[in-house]
Amino acid sequence: MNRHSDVDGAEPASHSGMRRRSLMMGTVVAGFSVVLGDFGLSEHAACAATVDDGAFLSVSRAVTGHADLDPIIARRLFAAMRATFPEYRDRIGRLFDLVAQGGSPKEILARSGDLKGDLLALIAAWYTGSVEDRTNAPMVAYDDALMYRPTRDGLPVPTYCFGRPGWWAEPPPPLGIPVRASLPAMPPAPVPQGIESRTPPQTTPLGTIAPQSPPHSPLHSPLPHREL
Amino acid sequence: MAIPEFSTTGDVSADVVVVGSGVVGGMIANELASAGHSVVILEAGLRLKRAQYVENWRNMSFHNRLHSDFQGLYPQSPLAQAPLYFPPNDYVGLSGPNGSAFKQGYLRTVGGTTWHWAASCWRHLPVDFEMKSRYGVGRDWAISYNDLEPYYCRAEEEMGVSGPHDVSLQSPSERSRPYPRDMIPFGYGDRRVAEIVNPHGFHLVPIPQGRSVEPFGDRPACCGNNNCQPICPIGAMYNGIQHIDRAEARGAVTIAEAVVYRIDTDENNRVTAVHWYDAERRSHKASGRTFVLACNGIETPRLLLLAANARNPNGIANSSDQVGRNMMDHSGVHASFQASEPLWFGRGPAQSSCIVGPRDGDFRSRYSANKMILNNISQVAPATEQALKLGLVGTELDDEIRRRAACGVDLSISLEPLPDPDNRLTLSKTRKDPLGLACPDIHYDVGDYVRNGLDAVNTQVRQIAGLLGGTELRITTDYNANNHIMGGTIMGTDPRDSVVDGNCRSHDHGNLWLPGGGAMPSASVVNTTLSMAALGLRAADSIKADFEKGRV
Repeated sequence: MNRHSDVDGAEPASHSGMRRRSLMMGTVVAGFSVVLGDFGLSEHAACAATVDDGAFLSVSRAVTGHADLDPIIARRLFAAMRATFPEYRDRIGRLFDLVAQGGSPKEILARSGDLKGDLLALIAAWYTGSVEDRTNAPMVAYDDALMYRPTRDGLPVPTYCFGRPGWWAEPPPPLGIPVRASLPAMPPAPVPQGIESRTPPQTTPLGTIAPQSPPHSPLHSPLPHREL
Repeated sequence: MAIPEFSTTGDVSADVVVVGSGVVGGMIANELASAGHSVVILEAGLRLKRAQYVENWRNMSFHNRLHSDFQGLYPQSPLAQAPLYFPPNDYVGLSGPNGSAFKQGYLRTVGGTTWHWAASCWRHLPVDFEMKSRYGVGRDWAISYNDLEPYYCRAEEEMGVSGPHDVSLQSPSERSRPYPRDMIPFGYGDRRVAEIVNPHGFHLVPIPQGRSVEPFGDRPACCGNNNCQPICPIGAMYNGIQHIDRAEARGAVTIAEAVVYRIDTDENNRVTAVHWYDAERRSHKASGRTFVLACNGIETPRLLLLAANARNPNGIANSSDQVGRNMMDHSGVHASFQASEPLWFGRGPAQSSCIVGPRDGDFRSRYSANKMILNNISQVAPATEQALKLGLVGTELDDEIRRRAACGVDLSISLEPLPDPDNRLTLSKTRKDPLGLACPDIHYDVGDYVRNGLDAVNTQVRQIAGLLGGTELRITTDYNANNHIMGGTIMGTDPRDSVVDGNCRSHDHGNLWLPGGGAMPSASVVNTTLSMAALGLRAADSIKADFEKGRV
């Protein structure tokens, strides 16, 4: 379908639910056995002095829940974070201890205590590809920033081609998750004052345009689709 | 093929000297080179490749990309600054009640600011040319819509515009020729929003765009990379560099890093030469028979003021004292909300459809019209920022990004300021550029006409958000710039209160043309580029006529 299919493997979306999570947890556990073997579970002061790229990658995999993080990007991100934040190796050392007990990202977050800020900042760096949300902050990833994964099936990573010309007229993928609104929808407002004096000519509502070719994948449903 | 003549010291002589290499300068250069005239184009900025801009953009920090740092990827000549905002370089000094609404993002580089436009190719409405006569506000143009209509057609054909062949979707529908290509197909979000809002009078229409879904000339088809701003990575979008390339193929010569600073005039007040500094700060002279300044709405009036000489002590073309006055832009606001269903904006070109219902009506005698672009720029980055702020992790974070990216709506709303002589560009008395030339200062007040129009906008946006089940509705309260710079060399029939005539020829100098946004006496609410290009083609015709009739 597009240039990303070989990045994410056979699954067109990253919304593969339990299957992905099970796979990921297995990898994290395996990863830890290697890393922990290097310098054991000693107190984190000693640990911090030897926190290396492998430890950073392991921590990153655990807190993001993504087992397939790129080791090269991890190395670059770790270097950029160290160059930006003081004693960053120590921070990763403490996070390393935190994630060593295993669990999902949500479970790790729940027990993170005063490490919560560091944990969320590390996740944000992986999602945005930049060390922080600040003007000209060092960046290490564009196409590989994790933020693009949840919509790989429906949205191009800007600058990259997504399909043959006009592909966007085809139906988008189903959302696949509930549309949750945290606030009640506003009721329709009265007729706008801006066009009170003369009603502009109306177009007939544009009907659904049938795609000229079959959908890209079985995930697509005919329009209009309704969520749950 | 006529070629400019260079001296051994680097001076140049040509039939036509064009200052500025954007869409207007490029089109005029191409027209005149095609007619057999020698043309030299002087551009203050650098000449770089598209691929470098694309790489620069991909390598920019998330924060810069999230907040639309469309200037930062374009390297500047050290001697020809343009505005930067990440961080601000304060090249343009802003003041007045709404000075911050005039933070323009224009480029000084070969090809001009259309490197980072979104290719919206709107026409003014016929009534926009007669604001004073019809609504009792603003100024009338020196020409009518019908005078400019053939040039609108030519500009659309030069730029390969795709627009609706369905008359009911045209804004305006008064056309003598069809769009060169039918409308860019709507995405799902455009179709769905049209279904919902159009029964309420909002009239969502396709934006006429300088791109197409099949090749146009030597330009490839658009494949929806969703990065029109700040750089189309594949050259499917029209950009001024395309006309520079064409003009050069017909003999025109472009000199980059050439900062024009002085204009010579003779005893009849005709322009005889312009002078520029090269990258090593050496001065050179470009002599010609006719001269065109096409440096966009800020640099053209700045240059006219900088180049004041003994015969023109208040600035070139400025006997009316109107150069630099009447500065306008579509001061606007943004509205964003989460729709109650996925609309999937971000599929296809970055701009696709626009609400034009409130574009005209009798209310314009009292307050500003507006248009609302349904932004089709990917919502992934803002969705990510919002989801991260919620402190989510793991699957919940991914789901929230997906939900917000799919349901997020961003409206870019433009209002119409009136020409006000007090909204004025002047030369800074304290700030100089690296060549020692005064930086521009601009005083700006959007005026009550816009402020009252914003009240209507707020009501309309609330209705649209309500129709789409919107939550988290935010409407910005500070006006933002839209880079549609107008007014600084305003057009009129009376040389006492205007700078150029209906052909964009300066009233004061018989062989000096000032085409582009600066000439526009009314802003309408639509992007200016197509009108600028049409004015440029009209100016080119009048220059050609002067050559044919031996007037130069």
